[in-house]
Amino acid sequence: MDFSVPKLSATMETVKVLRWLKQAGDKVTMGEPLVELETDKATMEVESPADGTLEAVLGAEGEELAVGAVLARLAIAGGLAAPDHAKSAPPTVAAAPKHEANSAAAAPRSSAGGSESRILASPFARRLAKMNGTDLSSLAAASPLTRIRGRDVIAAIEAAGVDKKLAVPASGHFEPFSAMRRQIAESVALSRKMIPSFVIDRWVETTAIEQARITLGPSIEQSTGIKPTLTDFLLLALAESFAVHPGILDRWREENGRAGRVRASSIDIGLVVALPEGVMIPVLCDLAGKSLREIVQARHDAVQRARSGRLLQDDLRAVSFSVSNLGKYGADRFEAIIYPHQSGILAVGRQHERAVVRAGGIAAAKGVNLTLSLDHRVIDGLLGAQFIHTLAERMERGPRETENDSYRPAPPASRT
Amino acid sequence: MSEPPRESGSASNQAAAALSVEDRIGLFRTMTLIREFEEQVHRSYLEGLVHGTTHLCNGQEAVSAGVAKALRDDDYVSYTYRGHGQCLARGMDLEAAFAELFGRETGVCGGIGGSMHLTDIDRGLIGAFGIVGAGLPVAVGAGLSAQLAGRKQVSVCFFGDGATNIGAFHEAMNMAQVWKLPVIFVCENNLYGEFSHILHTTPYENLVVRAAGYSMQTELVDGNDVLAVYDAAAPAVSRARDGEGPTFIECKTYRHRGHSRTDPAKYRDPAEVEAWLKRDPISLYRAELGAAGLLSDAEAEGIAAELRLLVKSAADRAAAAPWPSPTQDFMARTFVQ
Amino acid sequence: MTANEKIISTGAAAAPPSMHEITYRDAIVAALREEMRRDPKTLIMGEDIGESGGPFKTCQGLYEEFGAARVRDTPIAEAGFVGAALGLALTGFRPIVEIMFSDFLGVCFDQIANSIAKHRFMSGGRVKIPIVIRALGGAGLRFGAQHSQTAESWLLSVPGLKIICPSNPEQAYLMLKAAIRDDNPVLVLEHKALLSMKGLVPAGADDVAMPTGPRVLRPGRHATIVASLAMVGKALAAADSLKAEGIEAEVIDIQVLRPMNVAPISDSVRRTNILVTVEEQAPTGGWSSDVVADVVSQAFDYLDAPPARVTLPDHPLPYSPHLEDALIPSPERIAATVKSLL
Repeated sequence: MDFSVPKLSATMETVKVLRWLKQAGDKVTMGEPLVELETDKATMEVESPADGTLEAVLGAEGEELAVGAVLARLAIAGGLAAPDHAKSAPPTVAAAPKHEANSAAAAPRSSAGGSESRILASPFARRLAKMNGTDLSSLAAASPLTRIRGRDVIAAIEAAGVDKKLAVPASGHFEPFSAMRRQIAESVALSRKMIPSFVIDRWVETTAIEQARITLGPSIEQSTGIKPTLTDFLLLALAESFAVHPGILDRWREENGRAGRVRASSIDIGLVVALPEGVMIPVLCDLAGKSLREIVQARHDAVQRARSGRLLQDDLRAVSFSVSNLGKYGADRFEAIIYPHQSGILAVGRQHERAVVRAGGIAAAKGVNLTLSLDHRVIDGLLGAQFIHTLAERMERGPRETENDSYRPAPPASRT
Repeated sequence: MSEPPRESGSASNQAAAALSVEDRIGLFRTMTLIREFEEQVHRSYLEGLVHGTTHLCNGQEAVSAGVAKALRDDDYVSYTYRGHGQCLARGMDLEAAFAELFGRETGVCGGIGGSMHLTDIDRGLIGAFGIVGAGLPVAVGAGLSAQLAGRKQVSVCFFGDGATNIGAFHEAMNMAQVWKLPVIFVCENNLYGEFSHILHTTPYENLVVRAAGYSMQTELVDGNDVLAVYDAAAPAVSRARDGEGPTFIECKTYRHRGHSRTDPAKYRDPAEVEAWLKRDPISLYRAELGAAGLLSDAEAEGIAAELRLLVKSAADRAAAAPWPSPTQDFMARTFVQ
Repeated sequence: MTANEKIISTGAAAAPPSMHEITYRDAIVAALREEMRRDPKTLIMGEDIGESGGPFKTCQGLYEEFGAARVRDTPIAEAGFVGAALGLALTGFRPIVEIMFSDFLGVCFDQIANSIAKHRFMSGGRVKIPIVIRALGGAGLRFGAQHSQTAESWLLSVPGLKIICPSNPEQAYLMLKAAIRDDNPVLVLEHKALLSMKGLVPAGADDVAMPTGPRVLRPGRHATIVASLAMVGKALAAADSLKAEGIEAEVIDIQVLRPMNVAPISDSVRRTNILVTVEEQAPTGGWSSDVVADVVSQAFDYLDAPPARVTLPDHPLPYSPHLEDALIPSPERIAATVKSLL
């Protein structure tokens, strides 16, 4: 079977083949990573879709391929027939990959997949860019629908040329964005433009969670090697709360000119991970029914993935809700921006003590500010408020202790 | 459906009377050679040596032989895709002719022209034209060339009855007469234009009517009587050499086989075919020579056998010849560099 | 570039020929006269070219000098006399044929495409066919649809022919001389609207050769404009108006349609990155499509915008001057096209 470059994100047009983890002739199993691809967002490993043998590697390392371009050919184990055209012309299948691999090594295939990318650039501009190592995608950011011309590349080259010589850019000097920064800029601009959001605040006491950290923490750490964090407990509570209020996970969609919603089929949460050069949002999938320990493990893996820039296919699932925690960096409270195509985001502030009124007196309590932003096209204030109330309750109640260190969330309560 | 004419052409017998015995037997040889060649082509075609198609002139040999006898070596001849007879009557090399039909490198055109385009400029065979009627203007040009050169050459054009309906025919006839060119237009009227009987496409059977429309001198001749053909051609040629202008010679004849190799000629009435086969020009002439005591049956058989052998060995040699190279310099064949 | 240098007669030892300013028409006559004097095997045939000197006076004085045998009026029978040219060529003469209107090439199309273009090839290269067919075509003279075509594309797809199209008096003179000396069939497409155009032309040029490809008439950095026949003048005018706006257009006269040699045009596009063609024909099946295809193939990485073709519309040409003028590519339209690509 032909294994083509998957569309790993909504905004992805091309990938660069970084490194083949397997060679032609190797046996592979389903899920085993085959190749490292670099997209505009991240480096990610792409796994084999089936058990079998890697027959041919078609994208050379360093080559840029479009979504849908054939990356490799697999012979499926169990003697399943390869696609007709490959079977009926074995000489060409054998010959073609060599030829394509060779020619790809010799010169980048500007015609790969029918269009090098949705980056519109004249052949002359591409030539200049190639000769000078100019990144066309960064040029395309300014106006993605206008063809990049030779003069644009020349201007970029001149700008870059001056830039490299200075240790500190002079004020007012133009520095083109990297792919990630461009992506962030586009996303937030789009979000603010497209999503009419509203914000709900709630301060949540974390006393019970701290308690649970002490009681449940060590055994979790012992078995997973990971110390549970506030985020883990938050995620657990979130998962429970989503189960109670599934409407919070609805997403706005327009189909054939008609407005509507898409219901989530599973509880997936995006976790915003700050990186030196920007952010990445790995996804924790299928949180319904997961124990605390499982959540800890998942959260840890997700952060690792993001930090090493190696997102997996699951990380690019469509999610409707993300969590962003800037508390550890010093923000008391902030309002996060809902990511495009999502409908909610929870901003978590700094865990700190504050004075609370309790039983008529003033006491000190530890807690965090939760700031919930929601897409009002599909989620109303009432639901938002109910949700945050449920979430706060769950968090303040804390996870229930059980005999073993895995925790199962309580079934949805009948209360709203 | 017409009866084949029994009488000879209207020209006098003086020209034929002047022929020597050798000449007369020569005419028999020429016709027999053409017949043997065409028969061999037929066999070779069935063996898969001749490709595409070919157009045989069995039954029309007397026209080629009779007219050729009246010509000089430096006269010009143009003809059609049914032109093997004209080429052989002018002495085209047998092996080179076969090799051309077989598509071999040693063909007279290097295997590039094929059956329909045998050209041999050194023998004055200026070309065979596959487009009906296309050769007439070319022949007129050659006639103009002869007139300008002043060496009393003539230009002879062979074509069929079908060509008399196409525009180029009329333009050529008109120009030849207006400029009084030394052109002999030889129309082999075999009653059929491809698959159509002449009366389905033309208002009358005698095409000399057309020539009369151009005020051109005409001859109407039994095309299966080689001496009658010669009797008409010789004076026409000398008139032309003397600057008296063109002549249109209509030769009534018949083709034994179909229009082309793939045509079984079912559109012809078997009775008509029978009648014409009985007037086979070679048989008729052989009988005439025999009656005049110039050629015995045995001698005639001897000549036929000899020519058959000659033809067969030429065909065999041609069949062993190499194929032309696909990587040859075709541009040099197209343009003078 | 080297090909074009050959056209001008230089000869190291010989003195350069004198130059005189004459019309395109007179340049044709001069070429015919000089070549007919040079080679007694040349002769010219056509309708009313004898005593009348040709309907467009392109044979003026030839009948008086060379007589009826070599300057021959024909009946209105293009198939007849073009076919006769083949017969003459095969038998030692070098005929020149004048086709009164290029539109009439339809009448002798068979003779040209099926016989003249192929006869040498079919003979295996054994015969030579030194024929020149001159045809006068083009729009702008209000002659209506059947008398205004340049016919540049009609025989473009026929291998075995050479096709040239002089755009100025000097080319009309030099290229016609070279064509007459060429031993192969050459179709010379002349333009009626250029007949009165004046230009400097050498007299008595002897060292002539067929050009091998297009010629740069005017260098420029910003865009390449390729044109033929009367469109060359329009392209030059467009280049003038663009210059006033600081845009330097390089103007190329294609001058040889067959064999087509796009390399000099690709060289130009490598410098300018912009290609515009101007062709006085309907958009489909003309030489400009070939030029664009070849330039894209030869200079793909140098194109900064898609190549553009300026042509006649895809319907016959109307008679009314108001209409004809609006439809023929103008310098304004050419300049606007160039600007749209920059």
